[in-house]
Amino acid sequence: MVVVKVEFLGGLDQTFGGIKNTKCILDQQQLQNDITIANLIDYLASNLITNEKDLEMFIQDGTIRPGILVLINDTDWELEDKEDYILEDGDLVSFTSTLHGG
Amino acid sequence: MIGKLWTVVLLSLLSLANALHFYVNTDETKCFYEELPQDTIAVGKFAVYEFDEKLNDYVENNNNLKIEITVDETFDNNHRVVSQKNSPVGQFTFTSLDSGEHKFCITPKHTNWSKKSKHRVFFDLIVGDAKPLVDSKRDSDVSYLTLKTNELIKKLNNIKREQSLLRLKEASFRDVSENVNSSTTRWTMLQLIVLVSTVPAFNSLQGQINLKNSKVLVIGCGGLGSSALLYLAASGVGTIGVLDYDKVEVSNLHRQIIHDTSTIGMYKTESANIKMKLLNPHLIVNIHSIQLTNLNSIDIFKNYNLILDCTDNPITKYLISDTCVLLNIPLISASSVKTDGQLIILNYQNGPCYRCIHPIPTKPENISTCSDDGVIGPCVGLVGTLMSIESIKILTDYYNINKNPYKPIMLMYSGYQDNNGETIKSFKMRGKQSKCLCNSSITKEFIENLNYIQFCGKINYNILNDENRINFDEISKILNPLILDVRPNEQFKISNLNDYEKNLNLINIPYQSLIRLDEKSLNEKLPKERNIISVCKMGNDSRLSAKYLLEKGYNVYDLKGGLNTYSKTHKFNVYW
Repeated sequence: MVVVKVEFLGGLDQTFGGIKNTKCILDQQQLQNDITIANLIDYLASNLITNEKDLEMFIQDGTIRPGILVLINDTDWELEDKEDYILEDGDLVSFTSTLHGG
Repeated sequence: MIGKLWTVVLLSLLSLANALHFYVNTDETKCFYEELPQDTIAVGKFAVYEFDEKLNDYVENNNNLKIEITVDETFDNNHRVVSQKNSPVGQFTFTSLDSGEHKFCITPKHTNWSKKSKHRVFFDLIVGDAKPLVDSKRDSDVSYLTLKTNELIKKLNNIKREQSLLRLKEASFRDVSENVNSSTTRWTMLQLIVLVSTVPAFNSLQGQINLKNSKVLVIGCGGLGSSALLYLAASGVGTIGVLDYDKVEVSNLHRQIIHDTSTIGMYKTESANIKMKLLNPHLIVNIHSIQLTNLNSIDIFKNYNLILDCTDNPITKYLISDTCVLLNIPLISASSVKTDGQLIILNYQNGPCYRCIHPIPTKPENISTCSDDGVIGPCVGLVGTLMSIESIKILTDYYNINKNPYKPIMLMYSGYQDNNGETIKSFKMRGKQSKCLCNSSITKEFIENLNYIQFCGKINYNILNDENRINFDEISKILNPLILDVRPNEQFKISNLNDYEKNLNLINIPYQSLIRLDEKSLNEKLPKERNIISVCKMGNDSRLSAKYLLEKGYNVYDLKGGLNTYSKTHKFNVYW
């Protein structure tokens, strides 16, 4: 079991029913391997998103929608292992929409 | 009218003979007008006779007859300059103090209660010198005057000498005062510089000189540009370019604080120029009141050594980044919507470009903008301020490549973060991506040939047939209409069609909520038998809504041009 903190920034909280910060408990039992970010994304998509239209705002073409940046402990996931990053207790995962206003 | 006529007649007589002859009753006043130049001596001679019934002739009366003479300056509120009572035969003298029309009046009066009678009046007005000042035949007069004249000439020469002396003194005082003035300005500027320069990281005087030699281009004079420009102008940056094709509107002012009510309707660039020059008159401002395109970006950018992207759409953001990559200019790119903002330094010290961070553009339907979604003014202002801080750091070599090289970070500002959350976060970002186009593919030809609009995608609003689009006045022809306002709830609350129209069936379901409703709730809110008229602010989301409902089997019409068009011909509380 892994407990991680998740935050939604840049207006992405609207897709998750207005939640900005939350804690996720991911159960290892069903999975044989370590828990990765990919598992977290699946968990968020199936547990926190209720509407199909909102799902499109989070996931497109089987991955995180273009325009959303993912950060693990305040570091771009491109510097880590992206979806394959293995989560540890207390990790903070941030999802932020790219803004375009000026 | 008759009086005036009299005057005209009298004046013409005067000019002929300067002498008048007329009849008048006791206590009756006769007046006439004469234009006199300034400092003119006027001498009036008069003789008034009274009618004697016994003799049946006009005779002198020195017993009880007095003549009242008045002279008024008609040009100065009838200011009375002469008022005297004389014997029937006599004269009066006065000197006109100002030039203008004078009114002369004569009134014969009895000093006792004797019967009124008729009078014959002779009046003679001599204007100018009554007698010559000098009689040329008298030698004493001439020599006296010569003496006086010589004395006056001497005095005049003395005055001239004194005057020229004073002029010289005045000139030297002026020089001193100008000198003091410029010294004050210089020391004030120096004081400012010292204040900034004493921050060690600013790099002292050299830092200030670096700012002075810098040329910064700020693209977009909106919310981000406003605070960024104000701080850059005040910090002593030498040259600032401002690029924006928009004009100032009243709805901009809550966040675009470089503009104000006095510059509404002006180009934002011109308006920003005024405010910046007030802050720093030494600043050179280049004004670009045009739209940035892939055909002009290279020509504009090449004159600058730092670019600030304060624009609000991905099309321009990709173009700006590509041009900066081509010309190798560092770029500070930022955005802000609602309460949040982001900032990242790109193309700096071999760091990432916009494409490295965002290889695939966000779909246009997933993007919201300030004018659609609103923004808290100070939130976007803070992000603009953060841009100016990073600008100063780059320009003063804070991120020195040897001592303190730049590591890519993204600043994330969340103005309305929960109490336990962090308002400003600093994310460590990826570096330049080896697969990115910025490594070698971005050339002048690449930029000029890329259709940036197509690349970023564009929402097609042209999706309805003409028979599904109507004007407001056509609603009355539609049976059982239900008006569906698809604007966000907050905007609907500010003003809606029922504010001034009567008996309209109106319902508010925001577009984003509408497309998330399940079949059952949709049918409950919008009964299929009603004719739906879809309405929004500008008539774009209303078309998307209409199309969505048409496909669900509804009978739907779109209000052409939305409330914006409606408000041009009807009373409406416009908030945009």
